[in-house]
Amino acid sequence: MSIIRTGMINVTVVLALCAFAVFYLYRKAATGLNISIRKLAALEAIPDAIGRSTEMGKKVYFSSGDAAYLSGPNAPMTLASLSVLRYVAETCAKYRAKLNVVIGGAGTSAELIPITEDIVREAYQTEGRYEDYTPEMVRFISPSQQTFVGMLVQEWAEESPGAVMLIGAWAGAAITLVERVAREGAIGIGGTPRSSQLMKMVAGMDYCLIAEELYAAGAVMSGDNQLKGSIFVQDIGKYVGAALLILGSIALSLGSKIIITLLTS
Amino acid sequence: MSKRQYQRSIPLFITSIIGVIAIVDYLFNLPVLPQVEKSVSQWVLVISAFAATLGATSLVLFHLNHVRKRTVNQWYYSILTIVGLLIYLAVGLPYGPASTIFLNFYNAGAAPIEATMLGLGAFYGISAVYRAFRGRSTGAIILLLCGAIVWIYQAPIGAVIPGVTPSALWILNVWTTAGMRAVLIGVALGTIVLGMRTLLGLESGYITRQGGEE
Repeated sequence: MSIIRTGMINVTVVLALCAFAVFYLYRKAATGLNISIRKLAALEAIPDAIGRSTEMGKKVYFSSGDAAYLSGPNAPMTLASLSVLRYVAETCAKYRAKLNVVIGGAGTSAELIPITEDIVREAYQTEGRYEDYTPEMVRFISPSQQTFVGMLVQEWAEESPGAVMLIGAWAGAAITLVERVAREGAIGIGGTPRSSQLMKMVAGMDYCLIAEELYAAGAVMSGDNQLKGSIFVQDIGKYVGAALLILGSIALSLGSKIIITLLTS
Repeated sequence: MSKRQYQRSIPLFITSIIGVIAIVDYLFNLPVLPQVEKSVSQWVLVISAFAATLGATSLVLFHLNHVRKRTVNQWYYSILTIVGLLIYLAVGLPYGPASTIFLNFYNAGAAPIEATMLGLGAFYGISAVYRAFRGRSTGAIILLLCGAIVWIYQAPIGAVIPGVTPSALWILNVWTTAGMRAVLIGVALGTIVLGMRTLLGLESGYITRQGGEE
């Protein structure tokens, strides 16, 4: 019995290379490598949306999604959305906007409550507005997806929000909430890597973090050059993937399955 | 090390260790790791159980606050929510969630309400399609045409109209699949990089920031 599990050799190699690349570029960025990342329209729109809500005296809503788990395949999306939440909370504290962070829709989403409270509280502390923070800013609605949707639809129908940010791991609740945001005339900023819901967000929201842009958002907003270095690994991966696609297509056209064998061994 | 640095370092260390154990167990055949990974998975279940209790408590306190303040247009819904929670608790605790009586309560109460809300999503979907399919630019017109073809294909009449089925299948199998695969590749790479950042302790957006000395 080999040490590496059957069929996992290529996965192990890829993960090891990624880990090395992330660490290498992180250290390289610390010694002067300047990484510039294109502007993400959705992130640029956050301060404007919050400022508009403050002027109109309306609330700002944020949700990490109705499929936001801290374990399983949605964990990275949830973690990335928490980085965006920190930025949103700091901006709300700066502009003295009324922030509402809503959690729910997923069976184990309640585990987000303490982390979310901590992030929002610290954001207000950092901006010197701790007196504006209240624990009611972070609310758990329900683990049931439809109850989560119903509660938000009712709330937004009664008091139109100024800005709604639906950024994170979204499932079936996305279409209803996105459309409701549009009907209320609120500025909608969305973002999810889940391909089944991404199209609904792009179609309905004013701004959207498309797929891997959410993962880059945390590093972009932190302004940390070292974290931006790790985003460069994503681009390198795409170039490698594109090269393998082209080489594989050419090889298959010539009758060789070498690339396919290499990737599936 | 200050208290603030401990508050930052300990969670990062725990996250890294647990993540590395999970990945190493997934990739390698090492004798002791499956048991460790199984224990960690059970801890996750325990934490989830505590989280569920925390969620229920948070919910009750929120609605009790509304009842106390007599919030306009809200306080009676809050009473209904709390009463509903207590009923399900009263039935579920002695008999269990898999019992006939609990399932009868669920099938008579919660299930039809959830199905109603799910049905509402269809109308919101149609409204979203109506808003999205507006030919304001060349790209929007192409989107509109492709959407219309696939929409007609999905309807029973699509099988009768000549040219609809091959066109729709070409759009779905070539263009849509290619686009979705490109998105999936990007997402997979982003997930791997974020995972590596988290395991290496470089990603700390979810914990307290490094604040130096207090």
